[in-house]
Amino acid sequence: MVMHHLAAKKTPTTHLESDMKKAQTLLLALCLGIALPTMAFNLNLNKLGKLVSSTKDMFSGMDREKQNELGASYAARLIGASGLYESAEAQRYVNQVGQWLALQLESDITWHFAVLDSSDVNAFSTISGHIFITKGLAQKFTSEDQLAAVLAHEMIHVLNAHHLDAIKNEKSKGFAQALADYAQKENDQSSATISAAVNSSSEVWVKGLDKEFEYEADQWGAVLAGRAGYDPYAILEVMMALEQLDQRDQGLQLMLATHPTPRQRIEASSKVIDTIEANQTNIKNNAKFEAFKQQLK
Amino acid sequence: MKNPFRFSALISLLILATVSYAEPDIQQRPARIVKDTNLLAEPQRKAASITKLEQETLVLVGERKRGWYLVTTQNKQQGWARLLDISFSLKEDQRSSMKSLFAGVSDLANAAQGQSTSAISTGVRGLDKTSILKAPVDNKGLSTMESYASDRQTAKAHAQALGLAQRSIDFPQKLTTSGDDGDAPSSSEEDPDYPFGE
Repeated sequence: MVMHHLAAKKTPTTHLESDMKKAQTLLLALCLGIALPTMAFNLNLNKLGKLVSSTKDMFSGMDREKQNELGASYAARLIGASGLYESAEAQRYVNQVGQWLALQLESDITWHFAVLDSSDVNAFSTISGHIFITKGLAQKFTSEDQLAAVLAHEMIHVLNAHHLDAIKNEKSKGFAQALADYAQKENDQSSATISAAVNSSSEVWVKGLDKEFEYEADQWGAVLAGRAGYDPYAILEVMMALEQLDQRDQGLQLMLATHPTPRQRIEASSKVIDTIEANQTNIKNNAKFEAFKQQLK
Repeated sequence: MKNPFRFSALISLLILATVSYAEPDIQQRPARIVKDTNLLAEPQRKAASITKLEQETLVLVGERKRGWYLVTTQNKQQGWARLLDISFSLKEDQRSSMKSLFAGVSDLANAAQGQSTSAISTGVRGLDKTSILKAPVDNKGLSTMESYASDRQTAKAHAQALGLAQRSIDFPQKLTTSGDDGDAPSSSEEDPDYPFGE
């Protein structure tokens, strides 16, 4: 799941720049699939219409510093929602595994990793390179390979800028339509109108756009894990473990709403992972991982 | 020999120790076949077929070698099946029938207990969209998170201690339609036989 923070620009800018910033904010909101407060959308949509026609420009215009600012803000909100798991030792361990993965990439992203104090089963990433796994998910891991597999999956979402790809996707017409609807009601600044516009497009986003990104993150993540010496099949092990859980459980619902089913992911990626030339690791006596599991109890 | 009984007991203990060491401690797990496939003699596609496995056949699954699991059938035939064709998700009646189907298989008791339908507690600090939206921005928490960052040397030392070896592996072709290929080489354009992608 890729998530992005909703940030308002405080520095005075030109009207065009201001509209650009607001458009970015809206796009980022759609990435998260949520409605925004009315105050965030005092848009001049006539100008915005031209801007939306080239959504890539909105993001490519954002330098890494700005992306970091936005992403970090959302990371802070996610932490606010759940809190960090209290074991500093567990957090440092996850960062060591994540940093080892990061060393296999050529990227200017500064990566940070954390375990959230939530019993839900999920993982998150922000465009700033903040990667989260929940305690509920980490408790399911039976090896460091599996931990690395999930971190790598989330890192690929960031590396491949999946939010940008999704907006360019044909299916994101709902987003453009939502903006067009809103543009026709330019004088209607009610939150209901704005929420309807955002919700309609975010529904399309959540239901129709995520699968290919998730499959790509599974497959590229398996390669990234393999580059780091981990077992590329570990992501499939995680999927098999998730499939085993009661799919009606409340703690799985957000993940299931935003991802293909574990079986779909296994079917989509098995053959690709079969072609990765990496030996199956056979790490024995991994005291740090065993300690990590103990710390999560 | 002063005490032949003690000697034979010692030998017995040694034999027991040898046996327990020789047998890998790999728990067999109950599973089902999700689509018709073959049980193969080796974990590779071209291996000889031992028998056919029909969809919904219940089996026990042991060790994994890459994308293959070692499978034991109710007829005690053993061979390899693809990970893709196996699921550990069993319905209640399937779990119940495992005991009778695999009577005499020593690991079955443990295996049946190993099945987990749900171990997730609910309602504790849930991370649904609403709770995320209502959440305060925790910049202090963010700073704490960033304070846990690992430097390169520590990460390398961790990997080295585990014997993790870096490998050069190309990323597969992108599934999505971006013109921005990030930092990944587009291997499919260089090699027409490149196995990834559609």
